[in-house]
Amino acid sequence: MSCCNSTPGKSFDLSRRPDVADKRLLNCAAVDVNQVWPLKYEWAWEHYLNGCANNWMPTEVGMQADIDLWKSDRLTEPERRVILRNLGFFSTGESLVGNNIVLAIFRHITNAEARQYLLRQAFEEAVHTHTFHYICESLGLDGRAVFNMYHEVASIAGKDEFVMSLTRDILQPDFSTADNAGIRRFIRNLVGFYIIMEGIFFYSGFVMILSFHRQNRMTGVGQQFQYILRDETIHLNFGIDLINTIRQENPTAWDTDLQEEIGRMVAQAVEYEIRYAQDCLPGGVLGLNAGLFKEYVQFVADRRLERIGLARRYGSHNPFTWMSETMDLAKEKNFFETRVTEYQNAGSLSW
Amino acid sequence: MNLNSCMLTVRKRDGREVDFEIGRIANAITAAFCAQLEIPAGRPLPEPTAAEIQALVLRVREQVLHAADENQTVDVESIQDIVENQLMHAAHFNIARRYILYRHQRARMRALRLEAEQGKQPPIRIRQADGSLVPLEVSSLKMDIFSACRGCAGCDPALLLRETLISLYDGMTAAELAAAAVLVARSRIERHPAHDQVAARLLLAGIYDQAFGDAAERHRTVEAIRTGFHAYVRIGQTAGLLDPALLTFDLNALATALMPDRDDTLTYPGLQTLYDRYLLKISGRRIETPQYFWMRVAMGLAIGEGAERNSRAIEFYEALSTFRFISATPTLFNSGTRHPQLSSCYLTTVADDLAGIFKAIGDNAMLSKWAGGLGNDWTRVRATGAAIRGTNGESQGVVPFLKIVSDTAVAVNQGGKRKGAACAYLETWHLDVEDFLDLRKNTGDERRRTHDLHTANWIPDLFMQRVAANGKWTLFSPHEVPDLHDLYGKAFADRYAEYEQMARDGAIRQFRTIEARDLWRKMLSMVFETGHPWMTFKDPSNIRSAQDHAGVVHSSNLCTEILLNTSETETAVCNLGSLNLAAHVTESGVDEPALARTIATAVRMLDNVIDINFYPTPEARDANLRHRPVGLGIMGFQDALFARRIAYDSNEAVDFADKNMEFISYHAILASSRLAQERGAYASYRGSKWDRGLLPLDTLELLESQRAESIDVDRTSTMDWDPVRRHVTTHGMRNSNVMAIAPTATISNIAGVAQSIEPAYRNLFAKSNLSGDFAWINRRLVADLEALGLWDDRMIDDLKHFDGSVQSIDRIPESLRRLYRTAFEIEPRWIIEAAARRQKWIDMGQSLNLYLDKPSGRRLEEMYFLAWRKGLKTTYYLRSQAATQVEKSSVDINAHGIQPRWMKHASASAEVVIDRSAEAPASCGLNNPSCEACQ
Repeated sequence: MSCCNSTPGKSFDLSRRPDVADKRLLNCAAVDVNQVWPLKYEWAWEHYLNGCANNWMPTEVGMQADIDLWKSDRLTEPERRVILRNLGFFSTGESLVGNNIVLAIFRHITNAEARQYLLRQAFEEAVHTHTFHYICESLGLDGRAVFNMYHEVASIAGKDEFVMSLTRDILQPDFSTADNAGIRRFIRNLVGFYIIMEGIFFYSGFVMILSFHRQNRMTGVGQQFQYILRDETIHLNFGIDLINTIRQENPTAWDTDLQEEIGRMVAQAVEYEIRYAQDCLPGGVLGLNAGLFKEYVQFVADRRLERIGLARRYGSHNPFTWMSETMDLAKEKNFFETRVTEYQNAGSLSW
Repeated sequence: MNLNSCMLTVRKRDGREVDFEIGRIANAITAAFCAQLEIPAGRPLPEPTAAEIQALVLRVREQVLHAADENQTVDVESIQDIVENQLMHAAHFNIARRYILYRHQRARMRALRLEAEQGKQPPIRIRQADGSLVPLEVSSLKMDIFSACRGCAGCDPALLLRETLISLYDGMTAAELAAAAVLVARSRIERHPAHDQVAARLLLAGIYDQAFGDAAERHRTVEAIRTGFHAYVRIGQTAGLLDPALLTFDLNALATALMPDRDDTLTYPGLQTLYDRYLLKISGRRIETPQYFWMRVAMGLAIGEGAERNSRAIEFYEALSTFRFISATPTLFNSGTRHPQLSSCYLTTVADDLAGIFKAIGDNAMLSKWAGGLGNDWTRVRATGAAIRGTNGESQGVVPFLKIVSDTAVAVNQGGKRKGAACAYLETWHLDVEDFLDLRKNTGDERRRTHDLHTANWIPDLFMQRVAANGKWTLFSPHEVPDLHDLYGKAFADRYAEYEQMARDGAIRQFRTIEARDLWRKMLSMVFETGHPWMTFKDPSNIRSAQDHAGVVHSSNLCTEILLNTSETETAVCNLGSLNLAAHVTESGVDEPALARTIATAVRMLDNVIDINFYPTPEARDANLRHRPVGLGIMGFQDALFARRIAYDSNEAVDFADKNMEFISYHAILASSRLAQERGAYASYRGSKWDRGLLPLDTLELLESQRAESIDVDRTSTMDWDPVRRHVTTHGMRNSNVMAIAPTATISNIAGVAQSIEPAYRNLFAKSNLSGDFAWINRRLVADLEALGLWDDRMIDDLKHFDGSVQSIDRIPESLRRLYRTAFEIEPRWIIEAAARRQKWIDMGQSLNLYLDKPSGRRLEEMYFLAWRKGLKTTYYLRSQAATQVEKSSVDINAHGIQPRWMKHASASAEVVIDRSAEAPASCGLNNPSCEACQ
């Protein structure tokens, strides 16, 4: 049936079975969105399976050490500010991403396996929101203040407004992907959420929180972020695959104007992010100061640009060499002391 | 000699050029020496000092000549660097410090002038204890970093200083400043292992500062550290930390035996671990240096040695401080203190009534408080739906109680040093076993989940045989089959069949018959998904037990290496410690005389624990004094293989495991028997397997006959065991059990070697524990690659990209790739085979972790069946890998391809071409081997 397809008024030839070659990410006219089989975009299905294998819940992570530290006098005011600002940003940021998937992206993706992953991702965004709720409850924070920071704190509101405007753009009643202009608007939304929101805006927050983790402080929150980061890596890679495939399927939409516009968007995002880091770290804390973030954010932005076929803008390096130890190296965990994140869901086991 | 006889030009900071005059340098150095020695200017210097200065000046001159460019010009900063380096090189640290200070003050004056001109930000200030702010002493920081880098090729102290400086912020505390340099050094360990030593030395300097206060500088000499030992013991005793009996030792003799240089042999993770949790402190200030710590542990263990206590303390200190043998963590925590709870492990069995259950939970709390790990046998507790006589109600089974056990482990956290930890065991026929399997899942009803409790299956042979035969399996509630849990071998199989018949006849109320294979698959699925419950085997554990005359082994312990009897009146206790094979092996083989000596010392230390130990419950005391079990284990097995250049997955490695364990077993049993000669046999010795003339090797046949299946393990013995047998027959044994291979998660870190019998996890990875994440790099691999000229930035990048595996790095020769295979690249059968050979000689068990790279149900099944068929008593964690990883931040990921390494299916991203040709190269690297810009 075609009832869930986004192409209004479109009816499908039900007399023949679908042909894999007819599947398209946008504007698919030949195969309806309920037919996962046969797979065309096997990468999308693979991202879906990997997401399932990584299933986790925030309640697995013990928070006792964090609670002890938070209630002690061993955190300075600037340190608390960094932590709170990041909780404030992520607590609602994850919801913005989830809403954009469900309200904006999902409707226009006309392929079942890509939608399958989008549903998985939307669920993971919900788990992440749950995580921030859980952290607030564990630490006894004023949840109303944390979850309202995206209205009250200018540096967060700026970033969020930047991406929310992209959601609103797709929700315009006249929006469609039927022509190149529409496809370009859609790509802008994907860039805004995958490349910028999840690919740039999330990353300075990760650094700040993991910087505590590296000093063996707020390790429960740090561990939650490590789980989130593992999910985000897949989100980002899916988003990049999505953008690159749409580019490939719609080569005329990917024109110089769009590429330049994306470059400007990323440059603007970098500015927002640097301002956010300055706001989180007015005086600096050990290992972190706002100056280093400029280089870092530029470094991350360069990475993102290259992955959608655009040239690097900044040529910056990652100034936080310690991230390797905290993030890059495979971990051998002491089972009695930390929770092991390396297990997969048994559903991924074949007999 | 005319020192000025060279025509050099010096370029000054403002660009002016003047003639080089060595006399100016001689004057500066002389002034620094005068200041240090408090000799007024103009007075003559003592002859040796003058000669020393003369020599220094000559060396500086030589270096300056060397540093000059083709125009015979050298800039003033370079000259000052050379002077500094020469002072450091000659170990004139204090003089260097003065020189650096002087230089720094001048530099600061210049900088302040510049800042005033340019309106720059104020410099970093350090917040003092009283809240006041003082400017950062860059010179002092520089001194610490340069001093920590002495002799470390592969480290760039100037770079470390720069990186430290950019990580600082205005208003930070002195403690944060100290931590900052350590953090920078440790972040570079992955680039070169020499940074490990730099980080360790920086941390050590901080420990000395704490231990000796402002006098730390003076205390860095060997003599001063020895002198300070008295003060340490007195301070510790006055503060109520140390046992007053330590004052009865000959502190002079012990102080003389201290080897302060050994502080420098600790790796950074090892020292950080000691710092965080082991070194005693008074209100946050460490009063122990590492060598004081080792001596304190040694003295604590020698306290009962009477007139010999001084020489024994020194003997123990020698074993500990050289890392040849390290006692288990609780012993290190508590030996020599007012609370000597030194045991690692406690095993209890839980009675089937409410009072018994809550007594067991209360005991867990008491045992856990003093750093013991717990194994609880829950099989006797009636299952869900069983009648409760008192209230006429129905039982809710074991799960709700296990939830309480889990929460208790969190509540009692061993004084913050270590999380409380317990493992619940359930035998495979218990009617609640399916719920038990789910306890660690991360979905479902949270009231029936125990995230902080470990779980293990206690599996009878009959179950494995039913699975193999595709047979049925019947679950019972223990209160209706009360003797089943105590039976094993053929007696169990017969009785179990009778109960099944009774069930069919309607004589048993609660039971359920299922396909054995269905339950087995669920067991495998859960161990895959959650790492729990572990698989441990009841029958080999009992049939091969030395103490089969004195009770039943109802479970293993927290780490599945201890197998001791438990009952309502006996809580089994085990004291552990591990030999470090790496410290006894060279490329040519094991230093057997040294290893034999270490074993004798180790068994004595372990036996001493029993009499010194503080027992949290009477059941533990009674059991331990009657049977006196100890668990001698090993660590650094992988290091020993690397030293001998044997690949883990090879017949040579299996043979080494076999022969090495035979040697250890031989000398450990002999050592215990000699202690029996000296101190008497343990109380329940009569009737034990030892007494019956059965050594561990002899018990494999018993297992075969009870199981009615052959055990496929090579039975070769290479030593003449008759002397040991005769000694045991004549003198008995001091300890009911002697050997158990513990995981050594923390003490292997202290010793800086691979855990226990584990293969290398990766060649580059992060060890993650309560002290944080520590980068660990395989030093031997780095040394081999350096020798081949292959250790460069690209290699580091590749090693990170491939998650510490060398298998896909083509530049590395095949022979090295073979040697440096890591845990997930080794077929599990090799780990199992080596363990099976070891198990011939071990009277208890091994914490045997298994690794599976590409798990499938079939591979899991084969692996666990192999372990069982080879006669292993227990297995421990199943380690598997996450499906995906976090995006790497320090690797040029795009250069390795846009799609992540784990993706099997190409997307359009695979076709994205990375074109950096339009970018201006930062600098052309024709001479830079890692730059491939134009290759």
